[in-house]
Amino acid sequence: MKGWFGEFGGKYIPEVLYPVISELEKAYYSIGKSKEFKRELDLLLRSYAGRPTPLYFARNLTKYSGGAKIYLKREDLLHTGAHKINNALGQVLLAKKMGKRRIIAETGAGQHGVATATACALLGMECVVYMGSIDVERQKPNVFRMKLLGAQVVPVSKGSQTLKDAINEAMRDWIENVHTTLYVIGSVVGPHPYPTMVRDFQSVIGKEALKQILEIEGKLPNKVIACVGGGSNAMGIFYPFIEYREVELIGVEGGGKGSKLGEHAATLSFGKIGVLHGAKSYLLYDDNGQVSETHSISAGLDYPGVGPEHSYLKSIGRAKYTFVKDEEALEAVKILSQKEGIIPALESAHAVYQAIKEASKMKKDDIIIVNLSGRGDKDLSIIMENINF
Amino acid sequence: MKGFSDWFIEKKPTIVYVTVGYPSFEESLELSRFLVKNGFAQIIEAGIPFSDPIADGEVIQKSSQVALSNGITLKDVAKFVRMLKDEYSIPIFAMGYYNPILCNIEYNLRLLSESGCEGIIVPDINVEEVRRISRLLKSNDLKIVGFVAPNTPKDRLVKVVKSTDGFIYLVSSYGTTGVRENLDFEMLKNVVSNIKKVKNIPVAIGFGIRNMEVAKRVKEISDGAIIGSAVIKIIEDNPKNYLDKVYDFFMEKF
Repeated sequence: MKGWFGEFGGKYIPEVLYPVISELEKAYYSIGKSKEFKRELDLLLRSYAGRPTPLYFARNLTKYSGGAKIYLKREDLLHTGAHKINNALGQVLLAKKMGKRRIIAETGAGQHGVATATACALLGMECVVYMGSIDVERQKPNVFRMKLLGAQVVPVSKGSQTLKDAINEAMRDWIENVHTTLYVIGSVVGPHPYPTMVRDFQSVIGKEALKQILEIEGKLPNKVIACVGGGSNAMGIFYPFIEYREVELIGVEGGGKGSKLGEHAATLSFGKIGVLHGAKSYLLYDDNGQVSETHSISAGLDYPGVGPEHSYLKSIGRAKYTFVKDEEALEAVKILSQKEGIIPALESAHAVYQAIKEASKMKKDDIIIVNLSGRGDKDLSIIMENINF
Repeated sequence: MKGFSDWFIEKKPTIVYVTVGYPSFEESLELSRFLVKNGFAQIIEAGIPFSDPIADGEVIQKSSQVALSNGITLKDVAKFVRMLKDEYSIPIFAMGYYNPILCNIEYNLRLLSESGCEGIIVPDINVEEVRRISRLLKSNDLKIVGFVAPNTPKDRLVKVVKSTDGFIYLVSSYGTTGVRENLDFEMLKNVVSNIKKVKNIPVAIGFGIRNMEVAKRVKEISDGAIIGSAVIKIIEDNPKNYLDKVYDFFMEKF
């Protein structure tokens, strides 16, 4: 059934949102799937965002790891510095075609907020971004970027004052303003059609990577590795590879500081099935069903939920999920910077660390593709606090 | 229970939402006793607090936060219901978001049922999920309340009404919970009649009922009025003497 991935997904939302969600669903399957829309979006992705991104053979990192060849899918080279722009352009363009004039978005680290503000500036839409007050404080440069791009940033000082509360507040705004507004969700989470739509917009990553690896190597990779917060960059690169069952798909969550509830953001590794933000999926919550606080050094992974399609891939054994701790991600930042001259985002560094670990146990002609979902500039202040020279 | 529907339609109850554990467990219980004893409420909604109440405005969010910091869980809500049922025979529905119920659903539904709950009200559940758990609800003798909004399309309205066996919670207007200036009575009257065409089920209107005069007008076009944040707001604004103010509210002194 549409909108369900096995038992996961669905629409667990207040009644007032149903009609507007249905409107979006209809618009996505008609306008969003039309040739004209796809052509227009494709042109924006090429001429404005910088697609296609290179699939880069990381020779030095491969040598360092001492095993399989490691390729990096360079989403970090995109305009605004991360894969988030793929989805933001898609959704804001769709909103414009639907006749909406106001866009709301949530953001944690600020990458999705910046990408959405960018797309709104380009396409002439009003933009309001909800952001937890703690995140506003720790991501000041991105807050300024959004303002410079013409967006209004609303700090949310409720609950844990981070991403999950920003989503709550954005949903409330949407409930109040269903007629004029479209909520642009930044990951493969939320009620149907978001998990499917965001995955479709992001699957350009996997389509390119598949074509590129076949051109370069003439064969499929053994493993595809990506970090998972909500899971949009991972779904984007995994999706076109799902049908090739010999390709192992590995999602890497934020392992934080430890395995106790509250010390990490490893939803698929430690969570249970629950309902949050409109979908049934794995979720981190306490014995009473209250959603747990999470911790990850990477703001983009610091989220108690995960996209329902990941829960499904886990349940059928098609993808495997693991986690990398804060300190290991920091180590990977250092290694990639010094071996390849690429400073990765802290999110992406989780995937890089896992790739090094996996590669060392594989043969020299095996292949790993890592989704390098973002660049590390936004994380410099956090990295500076943690790495000394 | 047999006859609930008829009782409801005849009685035209005022349904009052109480966040269990706000300002404290004892005080929320005392408030409920007060509401029932004085005949202000004929049905109580016992609110289960949740960490992420997306459909609620500021007032109920805050009360939920306080209840959570008081350590209130679904078990306490069951205890609250049982204590109230020991004294009064009125119907009580447990109301809350799905996750705290789902997380241990067989146990939780049995607990609520044994406490004497009439049914559950879950704003973020859906028709498919209701079907999935309908056997559990039936075996525990719990009714489910369905939500209809002014913008609910006809085909969906039919599905919701058909899968509901408690009453229909008709959301009066767009937006989150909270007090509103004006309700569109003409439009609401139409929605009520659309619901009744599907099935003769009680329909109560909630969201934004700011005083008893509005409640009275709401009852003229439906079977009941739901008062949520108005009472919680009184507690918030008058922490010392809220019972007096609640009395004034229901006696139409403001």
